[in-house]
Amino acid sequence: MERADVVSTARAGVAATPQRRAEEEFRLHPLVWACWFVAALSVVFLTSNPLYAALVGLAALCQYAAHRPDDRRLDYVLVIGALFALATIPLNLISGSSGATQLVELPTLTVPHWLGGVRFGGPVTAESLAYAASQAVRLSAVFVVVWAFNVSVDHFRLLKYAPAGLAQLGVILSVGILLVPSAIDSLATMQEARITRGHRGARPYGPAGLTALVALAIPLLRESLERSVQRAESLDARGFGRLALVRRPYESLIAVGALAVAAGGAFAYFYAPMPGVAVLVALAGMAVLLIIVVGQRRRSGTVRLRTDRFGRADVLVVAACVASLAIIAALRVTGAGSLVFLPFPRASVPGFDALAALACTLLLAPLGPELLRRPA
Amino acid sequence: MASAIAVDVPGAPVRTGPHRLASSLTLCVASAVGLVAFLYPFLLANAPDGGANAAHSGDAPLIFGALISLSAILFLIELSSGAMNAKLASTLAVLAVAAAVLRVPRLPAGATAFFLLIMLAGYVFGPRFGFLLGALALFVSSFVSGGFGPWVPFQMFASGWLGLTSGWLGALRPRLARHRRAEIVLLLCFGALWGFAFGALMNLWFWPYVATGDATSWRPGLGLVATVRHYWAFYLLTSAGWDAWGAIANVALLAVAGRPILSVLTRFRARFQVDWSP
Repeated sequence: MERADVVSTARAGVAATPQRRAEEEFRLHPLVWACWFVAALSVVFLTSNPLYAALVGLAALCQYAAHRPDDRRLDYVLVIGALFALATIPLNLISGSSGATQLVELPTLTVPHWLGGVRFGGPVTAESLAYAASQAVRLSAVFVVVWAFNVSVDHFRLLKYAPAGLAQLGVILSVGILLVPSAIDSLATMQEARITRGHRGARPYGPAGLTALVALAIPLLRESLERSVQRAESLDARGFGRLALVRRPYESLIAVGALAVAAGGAFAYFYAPMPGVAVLVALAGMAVLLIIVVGQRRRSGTVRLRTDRFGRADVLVVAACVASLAIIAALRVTGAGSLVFLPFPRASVPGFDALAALACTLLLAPLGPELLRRPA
Repeated sequence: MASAIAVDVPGAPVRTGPHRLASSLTLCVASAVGLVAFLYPFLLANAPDGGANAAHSGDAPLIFGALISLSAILFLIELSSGAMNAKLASTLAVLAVAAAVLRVPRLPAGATAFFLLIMLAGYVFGPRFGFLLGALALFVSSFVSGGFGPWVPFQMFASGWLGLTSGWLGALRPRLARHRRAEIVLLLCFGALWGFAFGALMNLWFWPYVATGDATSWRPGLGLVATVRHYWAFYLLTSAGWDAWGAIANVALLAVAGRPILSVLTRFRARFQVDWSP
């Protein structure tokens, strides 16, 4: 076996068949998915033009289709999300309209004064309808992006890249999950005891009825906590917490200072006359904070096994996502590209700009390695 | 507020000097920024009104979403840093997974039993533990169900605050030890209140994004009174009915299971305080 084979076997954890190797090669790095997620969501949030939002939504839908799992329940969740987005249209129309073109007049309903005296209903205008519909399109785009991300990424692989400062919480989390099988076992034991005592319909691993559930819940909690204390004693014996990251006070101070600066920048964006500078300040604060949090990793002393490799495909996809977000952000700052859609005071057709559309289409990039992976 | 979080559970590491100062400052600022990121519609009510700001209103969810994610990370790092007592860590693990499991079965109108354990454990083990439990349990549950989206940092803060405030309520515990009925009644009121408060808080992250109707929409510079009125209209229209079911579920579950769970948790807390001497 050649060295490359050994490495790839170690990475895959199984024998490195050619097909498996090809899959490994084109499987995207989990951080690439995080990058795509952030870029796609940011693009949708940065534009109020429904055409661009729909483009991003379509790109995400292609992504979803490529990774569609066998579990069809996720399809229903997607449909429910779309219905929810559509439901905001009538909701927005009954809570008051403005604009020039009146379509219909709804009967009004006023909430009693002690409940706030809010008035619902009244005239419905074409402008309000257009605006509510455009918001619904954006909302469903957000939803599709979220679901496409959720079906595409391996959450557990992504979790490995959590900041080192959170390693302690990670250990706690895995201890909790490791205790689940033993909880199921103790549930079975308790059910067996109930059978022995003559309770009808009780089965060791079967579903428990409502009465059984009430009778079992508290003992189960007590049992699990008991086990957790035993686990804690063994954790203590093995020196749990010794590996905890040594933090430096000045580091926390810089991090929290950066957070405060970022928050100040965010507020200055709305209050100060120079929004561009405020955005830069906010971004700088966030960047410093991220650098500190990521930088703690180097000293964390934890061992990482089976690290993912950042390949050529990953670099290309990240570049596409960054380019997409950069184009949209630049158009947003310069006010070009008809990113803002406001149908007031008179309804209009949303504008369309080739560059902005191209930026949205760039979000299809993760599909490239996907197509290469599939045998023709 | 930071001292109320930091001085807490038995066996938690005691910090001194610059570490303690830095830690308190971090907790203070990170939680304040988290709160600000939630309440920005009300805080921007006095922003100068104008054409440019009308366009800015669309950017607010993005900016404050990024801000709250970062402050959640910083807050959790600070809260969980240092060598945590193994018994406490292990109890936290069990309760977080149990609470996450309780979020799966849906009660009528989308209510869940998720808050039951967080409220009770926060009440018994204190605010720091309560915050960690709320945030961690929510993270586990969204992780398992795959519902990982921009709302997760907001939800983590909201359920963390639920645990935190139950920990503050727990300060009354020694006084209520002899009045068990009053204790349960207090917890029932608290649960009902949080049933509505959780919904009202969680609406805030998408409210500026979703609402466009004249009586319910938001834009910077609307004025505080108008913002509150608009939010109230939005809340009545969308969320109040569902939250009422959540509040009812909280009250019913606390009334049925509150007392026995409380006694189990109190017993375990007592076991942490055992001091062995040679």
